[in-house]
Amino acid sequence: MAEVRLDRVVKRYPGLAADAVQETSLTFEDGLFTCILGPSGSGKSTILKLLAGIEEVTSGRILMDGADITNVTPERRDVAMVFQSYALYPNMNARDNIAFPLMLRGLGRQERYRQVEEVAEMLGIRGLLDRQPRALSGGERQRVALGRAIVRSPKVFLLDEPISNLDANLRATTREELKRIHQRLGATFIYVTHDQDDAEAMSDRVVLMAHGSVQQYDTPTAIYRRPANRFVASFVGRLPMSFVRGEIREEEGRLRFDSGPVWVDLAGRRGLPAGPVVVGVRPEGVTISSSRSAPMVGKVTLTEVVAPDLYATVSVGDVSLRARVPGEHVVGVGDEVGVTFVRSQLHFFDATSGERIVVEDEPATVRSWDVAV
Amino acid sequence: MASGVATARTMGNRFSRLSIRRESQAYALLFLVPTTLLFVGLVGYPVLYSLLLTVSGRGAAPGQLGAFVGLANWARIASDPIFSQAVVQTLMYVIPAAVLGVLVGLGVALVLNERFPGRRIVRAALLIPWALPPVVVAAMFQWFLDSRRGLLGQWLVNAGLVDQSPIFLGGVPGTLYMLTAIHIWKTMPLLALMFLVALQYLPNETIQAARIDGASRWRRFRYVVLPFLRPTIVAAIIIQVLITVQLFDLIFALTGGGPGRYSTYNVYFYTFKTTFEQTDFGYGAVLAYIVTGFVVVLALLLTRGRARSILS
Repeated sequence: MAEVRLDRVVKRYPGLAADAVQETSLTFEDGLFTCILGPSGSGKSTILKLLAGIEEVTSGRILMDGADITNVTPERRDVAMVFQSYALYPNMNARDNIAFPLMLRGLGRQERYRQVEEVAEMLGIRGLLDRQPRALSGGERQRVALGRAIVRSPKVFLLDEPISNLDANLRATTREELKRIHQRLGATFIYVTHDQDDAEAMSDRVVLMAHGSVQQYDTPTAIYRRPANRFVASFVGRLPMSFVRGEIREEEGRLRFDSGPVWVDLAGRRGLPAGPVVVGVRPEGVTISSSRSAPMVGKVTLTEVVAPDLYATVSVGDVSLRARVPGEHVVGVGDEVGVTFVRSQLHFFDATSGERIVVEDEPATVRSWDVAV
Repeated sequence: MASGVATARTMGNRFSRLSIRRESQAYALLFLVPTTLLFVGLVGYPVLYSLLLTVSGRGAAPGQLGAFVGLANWARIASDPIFSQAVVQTLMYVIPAAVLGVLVGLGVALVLNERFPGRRIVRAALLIPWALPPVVVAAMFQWFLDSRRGLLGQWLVNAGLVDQSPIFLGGVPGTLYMLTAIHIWKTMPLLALMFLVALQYLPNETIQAARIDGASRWRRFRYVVLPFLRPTIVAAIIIQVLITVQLFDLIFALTGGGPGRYSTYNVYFYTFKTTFEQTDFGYGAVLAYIVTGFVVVLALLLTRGRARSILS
């Protein structure tokens, strides 16, 4: 059990112009399952390697339960890691792969194998222990790699996209299982992934990264509901958020967002400054109806099925909006439909910086990466 | 009735399929002819001719078949002291060359597999000894080891280790070991390269996993790297033995078989001397057969081992 903290950590690779990890301070809370989510090249795997000690920080400190482990070699950090490639030892069978960390600690053969059996039981791989890694399927290798981490009962588990090489069905069941294992062990899990489904299904906290810096650190729900900037807003969500550039104006004491063809009455929303702004709205924040009396009217240009829902892309003037079609409706390309926004589902972003404009009546996002150590 | 028709049809198909197979077989044979002719002419004929040489006495001219002498040439092996000496000395070359050569090659490969500044240059430079022509190597070492003006002697004197430059190529069996050392120096790059290539196939993440699991540098080597390299080590040993059994140029250029008359002979060199200097083609062919037999057995071991490791 441990809390892991990055204190103003920077990672720069020689010869590269941009920092792989820009100055980052971040606390992985004790016993929580934290996903580091981001596109490739965002620095998420680099952070994991820094935590494991297989890469050295350029500056800054890494603390585990308050103790500075920045210069502790990976051999002596009490962390276990599961690699995307599984990184099993090719010349050992599954049993010895899992037993390897125990052997290094000088445990006797009997005790080693007894513990391996226990872990194998938990992972359902007792029947595979005599097999060489090359005789195992991807999912089986993944379990062996996981077993090799669990058997050490480390303070911190580092998982580098451990399930992204599995097929979709197996991924789903493995997520459940990982969650179950996390609950049972109660250790700190730090899980790197580019797949938001991983983050949603398993994590207590999500660190969303891009270009080597943390964009948002929050619960999965908050990341979805209150994205901190346009990047987060567009990265999270099964279908992309629609963005509309426009202006907030005050007319007759009422706030109103207007972009020409698209407008919305913002009566009752306080804290919104007048001026240029970008509004973001997810498909479930756009309602379409057959009613011609709706405030806006548009034409359906595309339909998509993401079971169980139907989604329609609607053109209102020169603005494209994606809407979730309510279950009972059927729409086709070319149909004219009425469009309404669900006002509580609108996100406002600064027109230049792309940062979220926090509306007074919504709770502030957790910004613990800002907390000084 | 219907079934009769069906049978006839399937039989017709079978016949046409058979004839296609026959036709393609004919083509296959046709395409094999050039290779077969080359092989028979360049390998088969010399092998058979030299087999005849082993049962013939001296002919009218060197290399011509003389009178049939049965197994007399073969029998001479048993009572030829130079042959037994050459066999022992062949082992004196082969064993250190295989053991030390592979160890040094492995060590060099492990060092060059680490990241350090200038690694590329060092890796490229590594190949120089292997790329040098043997005669150049011999000339180089002749100068380097010369007892009066050689660099090595001078270094030793300057370092205060000896009063007078020693004679490096004069002792028995010291000279043989000197040749072995030069031979290892020359062949080590090949072995190091083999290991270096194998190491490229060991995923970096596997080593990192071992580090995170708590393995020290030595234990990573002992439990992860070494088992991974085992097939390569076996192959490297066999290849080094094969090369060393056929060691000839260094002996020829540096010592001519001496000092003394035979002290740096191996069987291969003795075969050359017997055949082309004493023009005893019959006995020379016997010696050549012995060396060849040994090489073939080793080569089979190597290829069969390869096949096995690929299959598994």
